[in-house]
Amino acid sequence: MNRKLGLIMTVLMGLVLTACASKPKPVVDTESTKPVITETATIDRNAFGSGYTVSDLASKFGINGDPLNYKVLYFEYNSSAIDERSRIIATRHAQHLGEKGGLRVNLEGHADERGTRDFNLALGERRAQTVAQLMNAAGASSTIETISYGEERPVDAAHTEAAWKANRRVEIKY
Amino acid sequence: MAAHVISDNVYQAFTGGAAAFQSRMAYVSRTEVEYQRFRYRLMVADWDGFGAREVYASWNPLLSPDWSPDGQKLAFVGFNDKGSIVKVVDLTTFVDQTIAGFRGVNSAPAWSPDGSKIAYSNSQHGSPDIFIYDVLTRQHTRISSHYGIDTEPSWSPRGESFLFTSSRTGKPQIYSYSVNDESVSRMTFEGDESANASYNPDGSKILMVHEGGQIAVMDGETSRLTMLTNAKFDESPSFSPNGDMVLYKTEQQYEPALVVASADGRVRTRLSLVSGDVREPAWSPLRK
Repeated sequence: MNRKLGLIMTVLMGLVLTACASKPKPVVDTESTKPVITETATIDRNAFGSGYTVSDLASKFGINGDPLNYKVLYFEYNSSAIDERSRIIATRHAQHLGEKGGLRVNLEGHADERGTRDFNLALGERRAQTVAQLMNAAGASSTIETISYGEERPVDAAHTEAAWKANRRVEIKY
Repeated sequence: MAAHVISDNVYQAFTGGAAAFQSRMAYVSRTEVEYQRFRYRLMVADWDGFGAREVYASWNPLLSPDWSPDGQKLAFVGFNDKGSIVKVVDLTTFVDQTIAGFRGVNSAPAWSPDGSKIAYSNSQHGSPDIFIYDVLTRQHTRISSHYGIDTEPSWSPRGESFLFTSSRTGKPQIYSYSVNDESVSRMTFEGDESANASYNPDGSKILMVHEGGQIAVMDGETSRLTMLTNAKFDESPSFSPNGDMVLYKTEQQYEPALVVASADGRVRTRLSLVSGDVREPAWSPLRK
């Protein structure tokens, strides 16, 4: 008799527990009904005019702090297309040039060693000009000069992907 | 491919032509004088590198030398503080002059076969176009006006057309411009990229750099491409005056080297007399 009762009790308890598990009761915590103030309320989502937060700039683009401190933009092979990281940096420089006015800046375009030297002179210039156009459109009220060195002035002379990537660049020089 | 040493006698027997040996070549030599400070020297030597002497020097890069048909002058690309410029140096007086220093990139000079014109590339109108400079009148005429990159003009043996490199379809390919009717036709269709094209002396073959770093020869009639080298960083190829040999720059054990190969690629030799950081070789016309 006891065993049977114990069994029924176990089953009933199991049912109750299962019921409890599937439908959690609302917990009313009467102590903490104050509004919660988080740190994120004051985060700038347009740090330095970039359209990103400071931490996104760092984690997504490797830009630590002000993009103005970055002066080299990188490109894909055979391309003069500006990626998001480059857009952020170039726009920041343009904003800076717009504020200061009257500054001279030189954009040096480069290419990696693949392809012919004469063609790479043209490719380097195309890269520099694309950056110049972006900066002018973004409010740079300054003299922006462009010059191309093609593949003639690499930062890394190795025949590696890493070297080529480092060489496909535009340098912003004040 | 193992390198073979070509002796005069062997070569003459092989090709039947001694003519190549009475020719010269130009190239650029670079020396690092201090950390990251380079001296660039335009050199002229016998075709095998013997007796090299400096004809022009600069602290800025030099590239793209091109011989005048009479062998008396070299056109080349140098730099001023605004960018690349096209210059000509006289090989007897060593007097140099700038013939194209316009806004933008000035590069890739190519002397016409009669010596009256120099074609080159300039980007003053936004993107590099082919221009022709008349040596006598000193007038410049714009030839192409595509928004792509047009560069590396190279005349046909009789001067009725010139080859050039254009990126108008996205990546560099070879085109031909006919002077008479101003028409443009595409010449290369194989692979991703072809550039730096030039004709052999009888106009039956086109030498070029394929896929960014391989030397190739295209048959003018069949358009078939034959690879002369199987490398990745070969550049600056030019035919010998009789069209039987090709001079180009390569890397051997990570060192720059100038190599002469037979035009069918079967035999080749490194020019051991030329060493250092050398580049941009250009075979001269025959000595007159």
